[in-house]
Amino acid sequence: MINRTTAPRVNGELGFKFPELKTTSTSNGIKIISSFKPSAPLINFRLTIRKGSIYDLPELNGTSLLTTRMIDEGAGKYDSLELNQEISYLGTHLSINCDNENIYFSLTSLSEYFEQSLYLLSEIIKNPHFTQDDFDREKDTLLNSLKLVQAYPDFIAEDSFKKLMFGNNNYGIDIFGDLTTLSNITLQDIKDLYKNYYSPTDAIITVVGNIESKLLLDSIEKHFVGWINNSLNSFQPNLELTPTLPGTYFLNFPGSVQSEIRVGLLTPQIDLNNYPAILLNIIFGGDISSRLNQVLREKEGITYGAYSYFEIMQNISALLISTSVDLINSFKAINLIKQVIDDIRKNITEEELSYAKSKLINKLPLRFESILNLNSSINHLEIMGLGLDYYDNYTAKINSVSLNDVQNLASELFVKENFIFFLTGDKEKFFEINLNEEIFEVDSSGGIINSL
Amino acid sequence: MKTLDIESSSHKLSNGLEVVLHKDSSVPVVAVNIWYKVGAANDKVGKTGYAHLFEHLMFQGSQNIPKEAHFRYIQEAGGSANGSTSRDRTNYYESLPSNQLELALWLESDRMGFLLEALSEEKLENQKSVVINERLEHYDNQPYGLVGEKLNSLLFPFGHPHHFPVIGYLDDIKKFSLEDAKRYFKNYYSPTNAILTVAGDIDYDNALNLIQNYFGDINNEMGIAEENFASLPKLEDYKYLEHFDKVNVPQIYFGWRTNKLFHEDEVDLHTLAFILSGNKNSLLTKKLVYDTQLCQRVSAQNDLSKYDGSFLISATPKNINDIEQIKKNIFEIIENLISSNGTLDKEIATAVNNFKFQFVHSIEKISTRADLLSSYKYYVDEPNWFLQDYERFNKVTTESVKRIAKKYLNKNFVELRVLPKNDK
Repeated sequence: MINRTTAPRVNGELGFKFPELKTTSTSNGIKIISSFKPSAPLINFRLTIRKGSIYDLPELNGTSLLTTRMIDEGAGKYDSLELNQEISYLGTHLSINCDNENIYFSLTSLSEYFEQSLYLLSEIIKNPHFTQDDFDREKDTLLNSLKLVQAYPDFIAEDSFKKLMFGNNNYGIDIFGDLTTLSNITLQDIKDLYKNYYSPTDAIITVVGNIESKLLLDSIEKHFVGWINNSLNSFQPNLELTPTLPGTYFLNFPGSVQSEIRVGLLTPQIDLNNYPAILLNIIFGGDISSRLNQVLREKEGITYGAYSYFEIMQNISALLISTSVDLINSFKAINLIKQVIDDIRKNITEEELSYAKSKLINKLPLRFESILNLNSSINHLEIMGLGLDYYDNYTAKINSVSLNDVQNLASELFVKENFIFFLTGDKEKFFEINLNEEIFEVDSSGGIINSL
Repeated sequence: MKTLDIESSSHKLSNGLEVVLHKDSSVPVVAVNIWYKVGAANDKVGKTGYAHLFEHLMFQGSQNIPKEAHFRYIQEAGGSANGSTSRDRTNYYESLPSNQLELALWLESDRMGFLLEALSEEKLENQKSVVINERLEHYDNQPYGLVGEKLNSLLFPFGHPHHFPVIGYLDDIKKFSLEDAKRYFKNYYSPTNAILTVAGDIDYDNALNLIQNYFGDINNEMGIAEENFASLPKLEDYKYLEHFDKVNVPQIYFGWRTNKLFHEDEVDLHTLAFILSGNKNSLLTKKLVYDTQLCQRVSAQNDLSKYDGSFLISATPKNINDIEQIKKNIFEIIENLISSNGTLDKEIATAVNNFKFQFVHSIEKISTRADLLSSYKYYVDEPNWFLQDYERFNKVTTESVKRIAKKYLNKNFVELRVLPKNDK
C-alpha cells in the first residue's frame, strides 16, 4: 500500500546543464549566438535591434511601433502582398514588434524552409519599400487600434500608471504614443527612423534549432552582408526620473465593473544577478503561491489573481504589483496590499526562502525545453549584458543567498510610504473609501485634477 | 512525416482509468495530463459554470494535500501546473523535471480519490468569489467581453449544450452549494471517466507501476451515464442583435452552425477559414483591409467541439458608417468563392503548409504533446493520431472547400454588431 500522507521523494539528481552556445559575428558586425537543438525540425531566429520606443522624438511618439508595422509591407522585389504570400506559403511565422528598449524580429520556420525564410527576412530588414500607400493604410490602422485598446481598463490603467511612475522619463510613454503624436508621423519620419536606427552594429542575432552553426553562419553572412551601417543620428532619450510623489491616485473610468489596481516602487538599478531581489519577489508576489495572491485570492477571495514583478530595463528598474478586484473591495485590496508590504519587511521565514530557491534551481530543465524558450533566454542574457556564462554557477549563487540578504533587502525596499498606489474604476460605484489618507484623482495623462 | 509519428502505449486499470504513456528522453522533462470527460456542455439550466467552478475546487486540497499546496509542491519542484475547462472536458496538467514524476502522480491521485474528505463550505465560498472576479475581469469588464456569450446563445438555442457560457452566469455561480459540489464529484470525477497521459523522459514499466500504485486503488463511483446530445436544437433562421458596449470602435460578427470536431468536414472548414483570412492575400483580408481599406482587421475561424461547431467571421470597421458595405462585401466574397470556376490550389497549398508548421510546432513541447495524446484518445480513441490528423489536410481540394462553404455558410446565420454606447 502506498503512503499517501507525505510527498514522495525525488528520484535522483538530474545533473542538468545549460545548452552549449556558439558565438560568432558577420563581416558587417552583427553578433550571432546560436545553439544546435535537433529535437524537432524547427528553427527560431531572432534579430534584436537595441533602439526601442524611448528613442522616438517626443512629438512623434509611436514612430518605432509604426515602423515595425510598415517594414514588412513590401521589400526587395516584392510588394506587400507578394512578400506576405512568399512567407505564408512556407508556413513560416514572422513577428515584428518593439518595446521601450528594443526592436524584435522573430522568425520560426520548419528547417526545410529556413534558408528561403531567412532570405525574405533579410530583404525586409535591408530593402523595405516604405511606400506612401502602405504608410497611409498602416498609420490609419494603428490609429484605429489605439482607439480600440483605449476602451480596455487594463490598457488605460497601465498607460496612466506608467506616467505616474516615471514622470517625463521616456519609459513613462507607451509604445503607441498617443493619438496626437501618432497623427503627427509622416512617411519621412519612418524613413528617417529606419535610416538612423536599423543598423547592424546595434543588432544581435540569436538562433536555436535544427541547424549546425557553420551552415547557419554561412546563411546569415550570405543574406545580411548587404546590410550597411546607417548614419546613426540617435535622439538622446530623457532618462531623468521625475516620478510623482508616493501616495494614492485614482483615475475615473465610468462604466467599469471592476477596479484595476497598480502599485509601484522605483528601486535602485536591479539586474538578474541580484539573486536576493529575485528570491524576494517569488516570496512576495511572483507566483500563485506567493503572499500577495495567498492573501487577496486564497484567503479573502476578492480577486482572480494578484502578482508582483521587477520591471528590469537597461536604465531603470521598479517593483510593480497588479491586480483586478470588484469595486466594493477596491480599498480593502489596497489596505491588504499595504499589510502584505508591512509584513514582509518584518519577517521572512527560512521555509519561504527555501521554497523560492528550489523553484528557481529546479525550473531550469523546463525553462529551456523548447527552442522558443531557449532562444528567448539567450536573447535576454545578451541584451541585458548578463553574460553567456550566467547559468554556469547558477545553483551555487542562489544557494549562497542568506535569509539576512533577503530580509535586509525587504526591509530596505518594502516601505509602504514610498509606494505609489493607483486604481481605476467607476467613481460613482465605489461604496466606501477607507484609507485614512488623501486620494488624488488624476486624468489619463497622470496630472492631478482633484483631491478626494 | 516521421516527426508526427508519436509512439505511445495505452493501458486500462481495473478501476477503468485509461492510461496513455509516451517516451521522449530528449530533455529531462515529464508531463502529466488528466482529462475528465465532463465540461461545460454538461452544465444544466440554473447551474451554469459548474464544470469550471469545480475545476477551481480541485486545487483547494484533498485528504493529504493542504489547501493550495498543489501549486506550491509543483513550483517548488521546478514545475508548472494548471487546469482548464472546455465544453467537452476538464483537464489538469503538470510539467516537471523528470525526477519529480511521482510528485505529480501523488497530487493528481489524491484529488481523484480523496477530494471530498477535505472539501469545506469555506473553500467553496472562497472559490465562488474568485470565479466571480474571474468573470468580471475577463468578460464583464472587457470591451467585447460578452461577444462569445451573446453569439452562442443565439447560434445554439436553449436546450443546446453550447447555449451557456463556460464561465457561467453570475447568479448561478453564487448558488453553487456544497451538496452540489459533492454530487458533481461523485457523478463525474471517477477513474472510468478519466484519461491519464504521462509523457516525456520516462521508463514505461516504471511509469505504469507508479500509476498503478497511486491510482489503482481509487474506487470507481461513477454516478451517471454520458449525456445524450444526439438531438440538438437547430438554428432555423437569420438572427440579428445589436449590443451597445463600452467600446470606441465597432465590431461585427457573423456566425453559422457547422459540425463537430473530427467530423469529415472539419479540415475543409479549417482550410476555408484560412482561405478567407489566414494571411494578407486571403480573400476577406485582401478585399477589406488592403483593396477597399474599409476594415482594420478581419478574421474567420472555427469553434468546434465534441457535440457541435460554429464558423465565425468578424471584422473591425474603420468607420461605423461602412458596416453595411462591409457586410455586402463579405457575402459577395463568399458567394463568388462558391460559384466561381477558379481553382483554389495555391491557397490550399499555402494553408496546408501552415497547418504542417502548426502541427510540428505544437508537438515540440512535451506538455502540449501530452495534451494532444489525451485529446486524440478522448475523441478518436487512438492517442497516436497525429499523422492521420495531419494527412487529412492533404485531401482538401478546391471542390471540397466550395462544397463546404455552400453547405454551411447559408442564409441561417447570426449577425451581431457591437456598437459604441455613445452612438446609441
